[in-house]
Amino acid sequence: MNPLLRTALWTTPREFRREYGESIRRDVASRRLNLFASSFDVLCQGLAMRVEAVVRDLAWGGRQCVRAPLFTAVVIATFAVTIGANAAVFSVLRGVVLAPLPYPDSQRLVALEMVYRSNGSSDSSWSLPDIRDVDNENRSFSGVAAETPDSGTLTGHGVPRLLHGAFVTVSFFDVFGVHPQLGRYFVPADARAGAGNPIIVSDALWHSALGGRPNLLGTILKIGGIRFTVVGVAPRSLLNPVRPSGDSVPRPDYWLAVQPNGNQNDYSRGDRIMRAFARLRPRRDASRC
Amino acid sequence: MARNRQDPSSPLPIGASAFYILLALAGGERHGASIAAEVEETTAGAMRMLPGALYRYLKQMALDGWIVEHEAEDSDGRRKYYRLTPWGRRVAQAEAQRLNTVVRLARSRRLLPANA
Repeated sequence: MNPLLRTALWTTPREFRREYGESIRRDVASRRLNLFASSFDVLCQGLAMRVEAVVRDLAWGGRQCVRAPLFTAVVIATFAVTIGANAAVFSVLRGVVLAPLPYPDSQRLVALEMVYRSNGSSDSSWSLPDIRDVDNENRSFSGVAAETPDSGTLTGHGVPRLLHGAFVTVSFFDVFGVHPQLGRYFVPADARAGAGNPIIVSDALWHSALGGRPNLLGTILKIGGIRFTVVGVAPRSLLNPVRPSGDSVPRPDYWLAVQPNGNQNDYSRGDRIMRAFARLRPRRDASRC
Repeated sequence: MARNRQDPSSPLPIGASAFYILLALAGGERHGASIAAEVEETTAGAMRMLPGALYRYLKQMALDGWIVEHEAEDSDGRRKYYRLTPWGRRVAQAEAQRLNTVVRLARSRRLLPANA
């Protein structure tokens, strides 16, 4: 059989093809019909028969549904529940896995883990000297940052309240690529002794305990008996990185600066209390750092 | 779909192609190519039935019980022949009657000459 006609016949239902395929081939030959026109005709008829079959099945299904309303209700309820469950699972999946973090070029942000060559075990707790070494000696990251949780009681602004905060390296906000909505972020000078204990507060704290007033910068906050000077307000979008254990820490109300290159006496290599992050340089692959 | 077998006018109107096929078979049984040739001849070439459409019609007509098909040997080997059933003949008659009524109406409205 001519390949063109054979291909066109494949669009017809199998039963039709078996029953009439040979007759069609023979007629095209004996009537000396135009092969292209005949093949096109067979193709159109085949598609029409397919559509007809679908419409017939749908009509039959519709009639069955009308005849058995209880069954129909169960089917619709099943669909509703399964679609709902799918949507719920997908929304979690999107939030946790698929949606990018709300930071610029978030695909280049990585959490750092230490792998021990001796036994292959890994650890995501870092000490400040270790982070300093990584920052100085790597060639893959444009910035390395670390944070560790802190807390303290705010006094002098209405009812005393417990705040959750974090100590961060001065590079922290740069690595995440976020910009302050008010004031500034940390600069290396902020981490030196006598810098006046600068503090950056969250949008939530600004609008709750601190009353949302615009002249916030320079305000003194007393947390745990220590006086801090407000130098900036973080944007609402700044999330809190998840701790290594998987427990999420409450969203920080404030950030304080630590400096890898200074205060070294305060942090020994054994104080592995920090969680480290880095931003990959352009054209660097996380698997090859 | 089950149709009313008591009333041959229930499937009407049946469409020009189907009616010409029934007309071709009214004179006796024919195979597919012969039906197509007859239709082409009776319509002076105005209606040309390509095999895809022809066999789709024939299959549907067989399903509806208007025609029956059987295989027979001829000079070209075995091929399928089609024959009108009594029910198919009644449907064709009903369609002819319907068209006759239409023609008479056209005459009464002077769309056709009175004694054509």
